[in-house]
Amino acid sequence: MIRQNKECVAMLLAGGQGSRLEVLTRKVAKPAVHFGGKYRIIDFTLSNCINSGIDTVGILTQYRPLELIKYVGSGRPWSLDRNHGGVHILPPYARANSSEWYKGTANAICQNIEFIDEFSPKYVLVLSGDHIYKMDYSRMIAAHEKNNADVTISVINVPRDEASRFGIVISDETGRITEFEEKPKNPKSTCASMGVYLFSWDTLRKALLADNANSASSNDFGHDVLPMLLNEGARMFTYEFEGYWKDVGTLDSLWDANMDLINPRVPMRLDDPDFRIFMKTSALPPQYISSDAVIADSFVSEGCEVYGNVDFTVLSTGCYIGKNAVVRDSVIMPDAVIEEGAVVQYAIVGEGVRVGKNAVVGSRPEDSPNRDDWGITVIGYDLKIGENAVVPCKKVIAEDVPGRSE
Amino acid sequence: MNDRMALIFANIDNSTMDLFTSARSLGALPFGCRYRLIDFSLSNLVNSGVEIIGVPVREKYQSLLDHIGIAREWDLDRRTGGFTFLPPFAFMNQSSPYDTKLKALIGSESYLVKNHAEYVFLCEPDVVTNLDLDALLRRHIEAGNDVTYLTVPQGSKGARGTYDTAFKADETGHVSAVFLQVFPGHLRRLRRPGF
Repeated sequence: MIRQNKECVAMLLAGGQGSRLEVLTRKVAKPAVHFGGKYRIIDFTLSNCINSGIDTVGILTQYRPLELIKYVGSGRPWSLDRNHGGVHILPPYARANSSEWYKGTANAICQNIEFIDEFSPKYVLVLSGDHIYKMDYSRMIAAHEKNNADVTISVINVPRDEASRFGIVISDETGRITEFEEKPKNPKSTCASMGVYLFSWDTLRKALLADNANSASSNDFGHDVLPMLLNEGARMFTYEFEGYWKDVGTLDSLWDANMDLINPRVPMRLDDPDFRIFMKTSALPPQYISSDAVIADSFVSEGCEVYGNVDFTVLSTGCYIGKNAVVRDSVIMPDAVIEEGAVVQYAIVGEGVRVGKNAVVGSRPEDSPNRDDWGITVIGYDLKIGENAVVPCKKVIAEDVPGRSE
Repeated sequence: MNDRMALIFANIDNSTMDLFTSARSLGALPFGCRYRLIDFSLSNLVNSGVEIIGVPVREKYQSLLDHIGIAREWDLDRRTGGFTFLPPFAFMNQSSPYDTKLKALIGSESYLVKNHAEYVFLCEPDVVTNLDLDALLRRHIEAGNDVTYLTVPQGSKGARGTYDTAFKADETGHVSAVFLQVFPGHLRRLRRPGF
């Protein structure tokens, strides 16, 4: 059989639980969480790959993979259904004499060396499945080649007061990396790693095997493999990314990133014909907006029926907003029903949730006596919030909330 | 199900629609925001278990090709059966492009023979409806019919559009006479020996 080598294979880390998304990742892996009305988080990374000319993607799954596997399917929405290459789901597997889960990010790739070898790539791109951004990886590959690098780490400039939340990369004037700091108290730079790593395959292959043989290692890229390569004197460079990038690993950041999409001041465009974000669509009817509806500054997706008020909100596919209901500053996931007179504000409402008549979910920061006690409210999938129930701010709801009489 | 197949005649010429069909066949006409007219026939057929569907096309069918492609949205991208465009001159013994439905049917003979389904639905894309064609087929089989023609009662709302054929039938639906509309409002009884 004639094998066609691939220049670059992407490995997408999608196996983590994403426990900081709490009720939203109880039953699904983080990359499968709904985002922006008609997307899932993984759509951005998969679309980046195909828009960058990378047609071979391994998706490493471990935690709750069913929904993700169903969603990715043959990879057709992203043109990743290929005879050679395309998208592959890579779960942990048993061997003749042993079997082990993916112990860390590096171990997950290490267990799939054979998969990557199939394509004899020059480069391997390691990606996270929980970031919202549009990036042409081919430019990063060009920079990697120009620098004659072994490793290139994509970085983004972050505000100095936020830098301590990130992995900080320190480099010289040529971009060559001299130091790493993982979540430093006093950051020496504002160059944050985006969790996008490009490796020359021979370098990575050797490093993974060495790391795997080291019993003291936690088999993680950030903690083990990258510091090891730096110590060994590998040529490691930064690639400065300019544009919108957001880690949606927490409930607050997930809500923020959704709000960013409808904020005209945020440079994240979903309507660029030359860089489309692809998604699997369900054939739902057109949205219906009744004469009673008042909608402003919002996304309203297909299959929605709106009779009430919607303001600065992302309405996902198939939602129903009843008459006199008020939904503002919120993210409503698919097939949710907000009944008549209900109020939902500063909230993430999970898929299939039903908010009963006149119930109140969340509150506005300006209405909170103490701003430190304020936060967004989150309702887990398929829950029922009873009539007239009140769900205060900063609550994460994992069970049905009974209704009450007026 | 392999006992049934269908043809949808995409190039129905309807002079009242000239403005919209100057650049595309009627089946490709956008309808209701997200749909094209042919979506209704295609979806009705697929929802009724028809998995072998051919569409004879004659001209202006590029937009139909763009819209349907390999018909994956209807789950009709199959190795056997599935969706097939039937352009003129696709088979032997076709000497001219289809200019009537009957010629299109004759031109599709090879396709029909190859798939040899027991029942064939002939559809037109100018009807917007949700229809259980499986129920229609079951009744066709139970009644032992040779041909079942889907109709709407005279004077009903659905009969308001243009139609070219009318039927006279008894209470069981057995047809005793067929009329052709020669020009609007004027029907001519179709006479055939023994009909």
